[in-house]
Amino acid sequence: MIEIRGEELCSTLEAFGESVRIVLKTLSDIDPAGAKYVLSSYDQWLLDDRLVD
Amino acid sequence: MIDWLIDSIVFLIRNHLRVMDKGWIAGLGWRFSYCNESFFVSAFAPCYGGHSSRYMFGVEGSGFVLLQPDFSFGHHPLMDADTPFTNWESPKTAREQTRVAFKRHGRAYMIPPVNVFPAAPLIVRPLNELTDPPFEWWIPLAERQARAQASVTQDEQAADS
Repeated sequence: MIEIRGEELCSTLEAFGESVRIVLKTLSDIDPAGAKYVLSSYDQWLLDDRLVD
Repeated sequence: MIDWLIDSIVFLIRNHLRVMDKGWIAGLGWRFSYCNESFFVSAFAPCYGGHSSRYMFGVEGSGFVLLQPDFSFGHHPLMDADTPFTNWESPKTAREQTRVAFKRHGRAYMIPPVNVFPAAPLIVRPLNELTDPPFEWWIPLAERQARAQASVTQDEQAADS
């Protein structure tokens, strides 16, 4: 379960859809099963606590 | 040589098919995957009303993305092929019982009309999922807004002429 925290990120369908898109894209980009996985991007994702908790 | 070929094919699949490419996501074959596992994804937010299957029961300020590995459904009797058919009067399967329970509580959800259906439109549902068209969340917001603006401009030009 991933929490998207912030009124502005989930109070409208438009904003929420964009938030979900970013979350899933972020996860896809750092997929450890993927060829493009690098540790730095994973660290960056962990630091971005505004969108993904 | 064979190893190089296999590595190349794997690289191409991972980087050009499984990534979040907009056109690919809306298709039949896409399913969100992570760590070589495919997931059933659903999303809940305060923007959904009490009639929606994605209703948040009064929670404000947060939305949630629920990632359920497909294999987890194997622990429940849900591994049979999906079907648009529902025995509403006498639900037998877990799938039917779930559909009936949601409907009984006023939160009936859109059931795909065919056995094989794209997964993406089911992740972020429209506000009124029984009547609204699929919400194309996989298209970036700026692009969606530009399309909407272009559509309005086109309508205005048609009305003027």
